[in-house]
Amino acid sequence: MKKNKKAFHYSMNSSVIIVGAIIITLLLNAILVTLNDRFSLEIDFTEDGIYELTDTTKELLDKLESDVEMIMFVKDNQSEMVTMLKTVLGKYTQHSSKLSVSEVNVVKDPSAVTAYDDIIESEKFTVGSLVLKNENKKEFVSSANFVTTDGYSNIERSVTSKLVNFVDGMSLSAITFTSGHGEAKATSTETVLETDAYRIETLDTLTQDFPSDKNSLVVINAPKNDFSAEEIEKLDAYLDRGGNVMIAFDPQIDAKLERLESYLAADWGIIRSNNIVVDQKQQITGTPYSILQFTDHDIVKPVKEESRYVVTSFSNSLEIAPEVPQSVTVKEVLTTTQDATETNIESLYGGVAMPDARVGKFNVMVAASRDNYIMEDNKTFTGHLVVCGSESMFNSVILESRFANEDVFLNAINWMKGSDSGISVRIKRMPGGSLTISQGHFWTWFVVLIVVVPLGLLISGLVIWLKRRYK
Amino acid sequence: MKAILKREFKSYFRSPIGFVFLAVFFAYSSLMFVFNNLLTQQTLMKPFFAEISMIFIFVIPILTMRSFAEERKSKTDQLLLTAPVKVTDIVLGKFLAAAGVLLLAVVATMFYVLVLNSYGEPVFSEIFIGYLGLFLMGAFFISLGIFLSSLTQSQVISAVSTLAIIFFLWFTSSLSIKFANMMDGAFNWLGIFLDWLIDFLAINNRFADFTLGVLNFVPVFYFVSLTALFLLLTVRVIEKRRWK
Repeated sequence: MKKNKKAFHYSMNSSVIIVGAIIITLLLNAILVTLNDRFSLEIDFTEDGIYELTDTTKELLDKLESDVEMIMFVKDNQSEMVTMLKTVLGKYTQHSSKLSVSEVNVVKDPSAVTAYDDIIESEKFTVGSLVLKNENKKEFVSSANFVTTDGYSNIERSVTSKLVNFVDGMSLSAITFTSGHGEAKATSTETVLETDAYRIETLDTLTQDFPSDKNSLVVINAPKNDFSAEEIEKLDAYLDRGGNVMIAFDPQIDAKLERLESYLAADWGIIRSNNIVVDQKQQITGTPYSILQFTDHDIVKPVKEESRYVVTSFSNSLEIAPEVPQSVTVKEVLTTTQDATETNIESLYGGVAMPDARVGKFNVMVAASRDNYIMEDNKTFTGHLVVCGSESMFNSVILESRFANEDVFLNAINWMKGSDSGISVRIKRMPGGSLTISQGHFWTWFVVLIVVVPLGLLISGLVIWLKRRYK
Repeated sequence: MKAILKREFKSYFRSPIGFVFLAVFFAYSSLMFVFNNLLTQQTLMKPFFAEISMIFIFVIPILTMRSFAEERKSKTDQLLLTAPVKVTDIVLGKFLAAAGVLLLAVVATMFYVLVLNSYGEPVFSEIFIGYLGLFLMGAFFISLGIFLSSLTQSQVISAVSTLAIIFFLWFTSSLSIKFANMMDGAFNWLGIFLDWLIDFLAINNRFADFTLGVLNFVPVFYFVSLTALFLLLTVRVIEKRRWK
């Protein structure tokens, strides 16, 4: 009887301990999961802190005053990119209670997607895309550029640049592209700018005035037709009042731009040569690109320090006139090596040798500034001008993260505007890199790791077992 | 406990079990390494970790099936239970011995990192986190296997039940059923609880955090707490037998 009572007590105690332990384990895990939704309970060990938010993003999130919902479009089998996106968005919600994330399954609930038809850009819509919305605004974030082909993540940069629109008092800085002169469409450049939280605008210089804001920036991208005298006047007046202009030429088209070129030469001391410079020794095998040389200009200093490459294909050379106007300062930014050769369109495509072709160092990008005192304002304005001999520096190559063309482009904008005017969240390197292994080494490791070592272990086990058995 | 740990660890290598475990683990992991890294020429070890952890379904039962079941069948458990040692020490000794063999196997695969380092630039910190997750998950499976071994005297039943449960836990993450959507009205809370439970049991999702190169304390606590829970359950099972 006494034994039975003891057994009952023991069983009771044991059951209570077991049930208690299970409940405590489940409860503690549930609490931790809940805490993790609000506070970061993790340490990012990736090389570039890919799952950490940059200070720029954190500062922006601190300024959010209204609740913003981030609607993520997913499907059942989520890709690696979507997993990464969810982790990064988790960091946003951990940092700001104003943000929340919800999911819409595009396969199971297609009607929920159509509810955002007004904002979704169908040609850029892929799984992982987002819609950010609050009571007043909606923004679409395409996942198409979240991961670059060469292994970089754009997630934080893309999301943060769109969140800027939800912060009261913050407006996007505008970059204006001119039109009306057969300018090339700068799709890749526009993508980069939009990702960096710039607003893209178009300006028909024939009918419209240049922006009045001295913090604005105008891009003239590979014009085919010349500017009129009136337009040159407007351009000059804009620069006189502290405007910023970037001009890129296309060396492969026979554009007649006498007025524009004369203006650059006379007023800024920058002479565009009617040539094409080729730096064959610097050409990267298998690509049309040659590596350019850095000067000590502020635009390229950070890239130079990181030992990264800026590349271009063909380029016009840009000479600095022996005598430049007194108020103008003009400096080289990017050049070729001393081994570059000069050619022209006829020579390149027609096989006719260019007479007196030079060999040597040519300027590919130059930057100039000009001070101008305006009496009625009693103020000196500084206009900035950056000229590129090759628009190919900033076409699709700008999206190739292995090159620093994008950085140089954005640095040039910041140099002209005098500050970090965009939202500078840099792209981050995704985990992993490449291996260079010969076929011989591959097969050696294949045999050693898969056959030799396991077989050795099995034989050792067999020998020990047999020894013990027949001892 | 030290004596038990020593005895158990040695016993793995007195029989072919330890060697078979190491050989199978190394052969499979090498195969995954060669195909996921050397063949694709990449230093990223995430796919390697994702696939190598699958071998646990088959090799952990080999490691744990005999821990208590064999003692019980050969009646040597009587000696252990009457010896002046705490049950906790017996369970911990057996667990640490099996975990030691697992650690040996995991450390051996770190040789791959040296191979990667000869041909590329792997990020060691990211890879280390993957290995930590691999070991923690393996340790949890061992505690589960030891618990199941303590419930039976048949090594086969112990191995098969361990394999079945690990297999179930492994594939729970692939379930895309949402009970909350199926159970409306009064039973909605049950649906929500079942969804939470399935998410809780989806071990693969917990392990995935480690393969990203992120040390998240939630899955660390998850594996450690579940390991401790199953060791505690094993202690209660043995205590009960001793007391009887």
